[in-house]
Amino acid sequence: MKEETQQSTASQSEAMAWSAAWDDECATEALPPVSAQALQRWHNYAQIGHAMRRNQVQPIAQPAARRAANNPRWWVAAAASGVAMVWGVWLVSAPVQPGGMVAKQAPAPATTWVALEQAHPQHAEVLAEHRAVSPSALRMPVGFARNVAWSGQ
Amino acid sequence: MKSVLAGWVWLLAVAPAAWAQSSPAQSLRDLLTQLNQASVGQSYRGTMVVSAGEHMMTAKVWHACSGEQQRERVENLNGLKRITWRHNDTVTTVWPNQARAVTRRFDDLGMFPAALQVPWQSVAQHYTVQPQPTRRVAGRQAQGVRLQATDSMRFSYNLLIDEQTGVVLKLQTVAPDGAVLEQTAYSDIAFDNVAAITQHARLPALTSRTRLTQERSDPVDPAAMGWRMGQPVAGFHPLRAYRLARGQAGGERWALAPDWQWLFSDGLASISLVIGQDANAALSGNDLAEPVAVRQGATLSYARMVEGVRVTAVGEAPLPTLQAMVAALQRRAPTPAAEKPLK
Repeated sequence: MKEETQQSTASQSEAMAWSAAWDDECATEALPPVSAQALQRWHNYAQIGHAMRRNQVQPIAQPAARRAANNPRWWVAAAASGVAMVWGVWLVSAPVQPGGMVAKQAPAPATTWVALEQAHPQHAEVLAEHRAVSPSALRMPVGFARNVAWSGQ
Repeated sequence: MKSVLAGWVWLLAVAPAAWAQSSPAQSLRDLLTQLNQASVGQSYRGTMVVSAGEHMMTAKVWHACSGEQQRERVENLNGLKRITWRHNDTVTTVWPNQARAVTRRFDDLGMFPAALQVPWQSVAQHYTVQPQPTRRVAGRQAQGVRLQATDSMRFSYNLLIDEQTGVVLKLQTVAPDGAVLEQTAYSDIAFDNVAAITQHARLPALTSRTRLTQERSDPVDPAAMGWRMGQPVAGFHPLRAYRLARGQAGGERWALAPDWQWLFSDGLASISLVIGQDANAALSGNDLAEPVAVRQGATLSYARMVEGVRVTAVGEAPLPTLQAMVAALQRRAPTPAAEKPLK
């Protein structure tokens, strides 16, 4: 009992010393006014801290996304991945020529669809001529008669 | 599933030698070779129906082949009466009601696969063979085969092939989105001996009042004309360039067409680039304010001005392919050799 009283006295002494040091370093008048809610929050934090020290409350795991968002290296990696993804999509969608060269072609101007009857007479002529000569492995099995039949249109 | 399995068995049967250890590329070439051999080894007559969208054409076909002698007669049943006869490389078209006929000799008809040159070697890079279920066409059992394009720069083809003879009974041209653009099928077909068919497929003597025009293809050197192809669409290889010439039969004067034509093929599809005369496009009414495109079945045409010259691309290919082919054209100054006088 005596020993407990001595420990309590020692704790009180330490607390008073700590309080004095606090008063010296952080004068009350220098601090901004503290609201009642803020005080309550600090109190709650203190309670939680006590409980944690006594292993009564486990630390709340921080979500991975939040941890990542707070990490600048994650942002660098994400930016690099984004650039790589956009480049990859462009590479896959671009016409690739034999030999691995990506064809650089100017965008074609807007095209107007017209009916054959409305097109320049040259259209009908070149269609017929193309059908007459079009080389294909399917030309003789079926293409020749097919093209001849079409040419009447 | 069962019928597709049967399709593979059938495909293995039609190309017996090489299939056992053949690669997919060899399989495609074997199949195409088999189809061409069947077409020159069989004689038949039938009615062919070609349909695309709201258009439908029918024609009676006589096909008489015995080895090197090939005769064909195609008589249109729609529109202006017109009969076309083919004897090996020579094709003659007659319009009986107009007392008019045109005859022309081609360099490559029936020369399979020699006429395809480089595209024949690379065709399997751009199409794969996929067996399909069997169907009944023109009263005959036919094996389905799909020649699937490996990219969106070309169309695919569905074929129905007669199980007994290997003759193509039906052909569908399919867009990359799966839409059937055009189909050709025999509504009836009868196989017979070559002699019986030949008597119908032989060109009769033209009447004396029939005006016969001759056509021929004069070779053209694109480089000498001042044009080169930069990077064509993958798989399309240049085959030849020519300018059409016309003249009266028996005459010595030939008139050259103002435009010349450059042919490309990937083995199954072909594209023509028709290149006009330069400079005077506006005067002749051949200039274009903006590119125009026309679709006729599975054949598209796309025309635009390239450095003051009207260029028209025609082919069985999607519009972006035609646009890319025209965009790849490059023009230089023509060499003096290109300015040959007319013969």
